[in-house]
Amino acid sequence: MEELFGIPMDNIMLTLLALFGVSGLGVISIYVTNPVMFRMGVRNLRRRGLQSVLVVVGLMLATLITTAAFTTGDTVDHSISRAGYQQLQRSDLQLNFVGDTSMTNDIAVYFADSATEALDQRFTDGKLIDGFLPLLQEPVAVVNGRTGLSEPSIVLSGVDARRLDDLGGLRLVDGGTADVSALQPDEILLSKRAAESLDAVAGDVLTVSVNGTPSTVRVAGIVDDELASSGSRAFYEHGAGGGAMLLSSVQQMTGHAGQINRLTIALHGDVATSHERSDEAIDLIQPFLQSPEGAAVLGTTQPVVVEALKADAVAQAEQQGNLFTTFFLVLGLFSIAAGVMLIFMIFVMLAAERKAEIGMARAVGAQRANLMQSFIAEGMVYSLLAGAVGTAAGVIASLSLVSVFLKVAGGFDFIEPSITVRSLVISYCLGVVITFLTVTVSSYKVSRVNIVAAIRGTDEEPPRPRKRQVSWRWVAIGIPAMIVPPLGLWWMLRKGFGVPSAWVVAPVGVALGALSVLVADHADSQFLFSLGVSLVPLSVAVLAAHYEVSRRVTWTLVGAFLSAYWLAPISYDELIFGHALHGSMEMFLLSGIMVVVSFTLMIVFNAQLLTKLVQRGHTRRYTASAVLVTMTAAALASGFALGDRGNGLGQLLFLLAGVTGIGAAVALAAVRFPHLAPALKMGIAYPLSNRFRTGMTIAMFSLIVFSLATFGAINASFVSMMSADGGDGGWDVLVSANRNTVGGADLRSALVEEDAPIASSINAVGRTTIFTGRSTVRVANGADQAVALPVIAADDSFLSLPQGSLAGWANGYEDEQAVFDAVRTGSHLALVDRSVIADGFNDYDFTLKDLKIEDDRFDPVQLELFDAATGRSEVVTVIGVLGTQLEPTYTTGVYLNERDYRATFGQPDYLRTWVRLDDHTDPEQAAHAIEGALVRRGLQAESIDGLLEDAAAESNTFILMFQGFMGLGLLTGIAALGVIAFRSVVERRQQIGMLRAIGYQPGTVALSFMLESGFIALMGILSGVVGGMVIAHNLFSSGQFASSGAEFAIPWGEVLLIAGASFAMALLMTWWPSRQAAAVPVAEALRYE
Amino acid sequence: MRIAWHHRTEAPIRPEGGRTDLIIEVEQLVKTYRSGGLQVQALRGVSLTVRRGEMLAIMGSSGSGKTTLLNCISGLDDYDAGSVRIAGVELATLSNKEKTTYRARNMGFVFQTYNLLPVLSAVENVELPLVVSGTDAREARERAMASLDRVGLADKAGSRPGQLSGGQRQRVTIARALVNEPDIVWADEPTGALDSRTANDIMELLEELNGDHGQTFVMVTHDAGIGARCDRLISMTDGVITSEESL
Ligand SMILES: Nc1ncnc2c1ncn2[C@@H]1O[C@H](COP(=O)(O)OP(=O)(O)OP(=O)(O)O)[C@@H](O)[C@H]1O
Ligand SMILES: [Mg+2]
Repeated sequence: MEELFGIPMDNIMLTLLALFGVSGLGVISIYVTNPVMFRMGVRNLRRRGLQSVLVVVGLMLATLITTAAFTTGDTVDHSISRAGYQQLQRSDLQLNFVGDTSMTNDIAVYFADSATEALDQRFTDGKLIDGFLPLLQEPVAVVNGRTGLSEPSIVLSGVDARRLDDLGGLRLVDGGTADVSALQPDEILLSKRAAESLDAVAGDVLTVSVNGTPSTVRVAGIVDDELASSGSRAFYEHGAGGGAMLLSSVQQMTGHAGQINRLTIALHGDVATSHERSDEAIDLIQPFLQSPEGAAVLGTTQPVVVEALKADAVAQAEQQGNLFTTFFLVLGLFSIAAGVMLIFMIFVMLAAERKAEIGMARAVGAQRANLMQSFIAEGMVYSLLAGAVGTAAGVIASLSLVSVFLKVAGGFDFIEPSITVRSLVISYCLGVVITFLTVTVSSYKVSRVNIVAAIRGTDEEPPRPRKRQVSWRWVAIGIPAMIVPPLGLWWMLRKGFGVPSAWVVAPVGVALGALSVLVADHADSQFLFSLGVSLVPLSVAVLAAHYEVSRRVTWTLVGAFLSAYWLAPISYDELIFGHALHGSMEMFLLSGIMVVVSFTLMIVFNAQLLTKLVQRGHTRRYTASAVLVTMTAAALASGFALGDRGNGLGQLLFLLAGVTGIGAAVALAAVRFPHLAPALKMGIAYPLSNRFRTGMTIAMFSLIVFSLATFGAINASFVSMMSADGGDGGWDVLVSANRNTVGGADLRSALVEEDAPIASSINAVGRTTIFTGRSTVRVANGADQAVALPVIAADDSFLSLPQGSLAGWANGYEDEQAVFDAVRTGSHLALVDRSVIADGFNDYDFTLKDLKIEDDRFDPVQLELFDAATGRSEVVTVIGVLGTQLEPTYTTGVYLNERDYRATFGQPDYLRTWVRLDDHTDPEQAAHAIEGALVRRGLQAESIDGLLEDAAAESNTFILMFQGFMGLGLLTGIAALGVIAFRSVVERRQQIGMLRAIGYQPGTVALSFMLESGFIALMGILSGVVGGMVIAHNLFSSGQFASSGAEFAIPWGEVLLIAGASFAMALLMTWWPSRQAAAVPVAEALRYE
Repeated sequence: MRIAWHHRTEAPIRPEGGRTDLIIEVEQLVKTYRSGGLQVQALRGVSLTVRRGEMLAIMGSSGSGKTTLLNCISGLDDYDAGSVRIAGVELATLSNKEKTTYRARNMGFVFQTYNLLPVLSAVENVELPLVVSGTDAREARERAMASLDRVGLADKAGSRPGQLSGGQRQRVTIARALVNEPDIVWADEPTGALDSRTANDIMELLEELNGDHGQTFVMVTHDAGIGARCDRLISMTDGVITSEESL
């Protein structure tokens, strides 16, 4: 990978190395100037074995996650480009007729094979262009006489033996190179995939049928699947492959004498680097080809471009790898954020433990800076260790993810692990730098001890700000420091004029917030807008805290405001600016953090209310449970009443019922099992008494659960859309023919001719054409250049689809039937499929962004269609969007009725037949029967459900992989609870001794620890799940995905699994420390200092 | 479940026969601390008896084994040899759980250094022994308030220990030690950290409670004046009782 977020990786590495160096220097300078403090810090490490291990685990997570992200990206990039080199070999460039469409098969544009010689003469030299490779590639049906196996469509590739041999020939699967020049006219070098599907070996005799005419060929050897042997099929993992024969034989067998349909260009250099000079070569060749002289040489009227085949493939590999890295990093940010919180907490706890020690040190004259130094030294040693462990763990995690999900589950055999030093350096430095920064900030916080409070061992009271004298020195320093505005401001206002910190932070916060809202419109950024809106209340609260307004009131209000803003299904940006601002993945992160912050604030400042649930002995013992049971019932009832309406709102009500149900169960348990009371008392008292620690832990858990739950819900909603009615487009089986097939156009009579009984089970057939390599499209009256996009003719039967086949239709049409009727009988009306309107969803460079479906309706859009070969064009109006969820390869295009199509593009060649079966026929079996009967004619049949499942399985593979990756974040939460529980046992040793002395049983002590963790985990999980589901719901009801047509659906199984597993793991992690707590020897603990 | 528990723990504790007046009987108690290769003989054969309702003071120089003795006879710590009987029951025959339950119901503690939970308010600290022995929450709160009132801290019921002075904390501890109306109260230097006036107040309080309820007090002190106010005073040196005088 060369770039990330548009920044060259080398720069990222150098920057991080520099930061790493600065941190390192900082620590070294501590060592040099203050070795006592350094040693004091480092000594702490060795004192506690197990705890140090846990701390390292906590600190390494950020590194683990970045390493895994980079390594996965590198692996994907490396594997795809390696596969690209292997498939393209010496073909760097290719002549093309309509743009970058090399990856789509079936282009049937021919030109003179004499062009090769002419171009060779003109351009081949010793410096740039090494040669031209002409190919004639035709889809044909093949039967292996020996095994009886057949394939309806493999690619027969006619090669110029001399030229191919000059450019490296073909590679035999058993090693070595095939001698292409030695091929006899009736011999074929079969590709590996074709050999596998036909179970063919050298010497087998195959029957090849072209347009019903059989010829026999002998297998001369088995070669790798590459462009020259299996054409575009080489790029498809599951493709049927092909085989190379002499050009003249293929020309003769397929009736294309003197013609070729592919011409690639090899540049000087080796396979992996030659493409770097692609642009130079294109500049040289393309102008000639586009001149009249060039057209004459090629013998075609269609305009030609030269496509940088290999460079594009490499760029695409890089892009794919980048996609993985970016996606992993963005999703990983949740875990990294949680990890940073964990680091912070670990240090606050380490400091709390040594409070008395620190207080003493301060009392006897140690400066705050000294204490910070000692902490930083300790933290740095931890981070260096953790960075190394994290990098190693990240590599392992990434390789397991890749091999489990992509290789084994996904069947992507070409994946080969790749680890680059640069990525490891980046991840390591990033991890260490993040840890170092966090350690420095937390050291600053923990070194601010109140000496008296520390020695007395009481709760810390924040020291009252003293009124200070103006320090002109700091004012003076502050002015030049304004180049780093925050620092300059701080020095000048706080240190110089002695302004209370709240009065610095709050106005700056409010100003930044307001600024960010104002800039948002101009920058078209939803992120800035929401960030600004959220910053304001947070900043105001700082000021309120300064004036000693009740903290509970202040922070509860802030929490309530934030959750109201983030959870309400209202697009405030749209309300204010009149149009929605742009937002993507970064909004996911921001919304997660803000929702979690708001919930956590509300929980920790109002947890007293929650304890009312479990306090027994007050007048009405069952009041709390009764209220909650009623709420649960009410939520359930309204959920059922709402049913499917409200875009999944009913599901949210069920979720609410679940939450109140849990509350009711807890309240009931507390009343029913009074002997839990002592454990409950302690289990709640501790988390309530330390809001900071409790809040951090809840937030951490919540953040991770939020990310997992939201991601899960988004996917589930899309998956449920795919399986919804209309996803199959109203058909059961797809039968594909190719241009060398016989009788593909009339399936029923072909089946009758072959005496196939399946013919009688067919209720209806609809037919469509495929991409011919000639059509280009643009928005009518637009300035854009027309680009390649399939224009498809559909017969009347295809245009009579049942209700529910459209994802949306134009205003002005009564219903779907009216739309189909209009397209069928009217003129210049068209349909498009879903992949045409969604950005990046089809294999072409065209997206119809102007068409926005809202509530199944849209404003019609006009398109201009061109035939590149004849130059004819027509303007059509799009009035419907097909709802089919098949992969875009099968569906992308602008659909016209036959008359309109013929007027511009000539006679349609219906190569796709869509079959609707009667009710008692199984599509899978029907597809099998159809293909069995027609395989020799070159027809291929697949059940639509099967195709949908394949597509779903593939995307599930990726989703699972991403979830597996995010699951790594759960480790953070769990490690956190473990660290906290272990530390609590140490901290509370005396208190445990005391409790045991006055009559707490060991089991009760253990239980109180479990309850404490349980309480925190439950709060975290519930707020994460609830926040995540509401956010996901909003995305589908009014946000980003509102126009996708998908309905919000809660993946109940997954949510329960995530919640249950994290809860169980949290308890498991506390189990051990709680046993330790129970086993504390009483008398000794009471003496413990 | 709770009833069965009652039976098992209360049955053996009931005094047998005519020795009802001796609530604590200790014979030849030996305790050795072993940490690392080091051995410290903290108790080298201590024998002593305490009558029901008696106020016993234990004095002795620092490190003489007073806290160790208290821990061993109250069942907080194990001992190596000898025997301890509380209300006629041999401690060694009780399970850990039984000992714990017995402590919750029949004993009160005032420790030398550490007494209150910082995360609970004064009244919550006081009611803890009641909470563990399963008293109804409302009743527990009433009794805890009453107990706090007795030590003169009713107005500080809602304060955290961190917000109280050393003497106040000690009084809260005493309120807690008395809240379950225990048979025996163990106090390890209850007045150690206090000025003589406050110490005197607390002693008066203890004497008063002892007079009213007939509770048994075993108290470690360095203060001869306090020791002199008890019924009996024993002195320890190096893990053995060196003198004993009734006052
Ligand atoms: N856990 C332990 N390990 C080793 N030795 C111990 C341990 N606890 C106490 N000791 C030793 O046992 C002896 C008795 O200690 P103890 O605490 O009973 O003394 P004390 O009479 O209460 O003293 P003070 O008046 O100072 O509280 C001392 O020498 C002490 O060092
Ligand atoms: Mg002592």
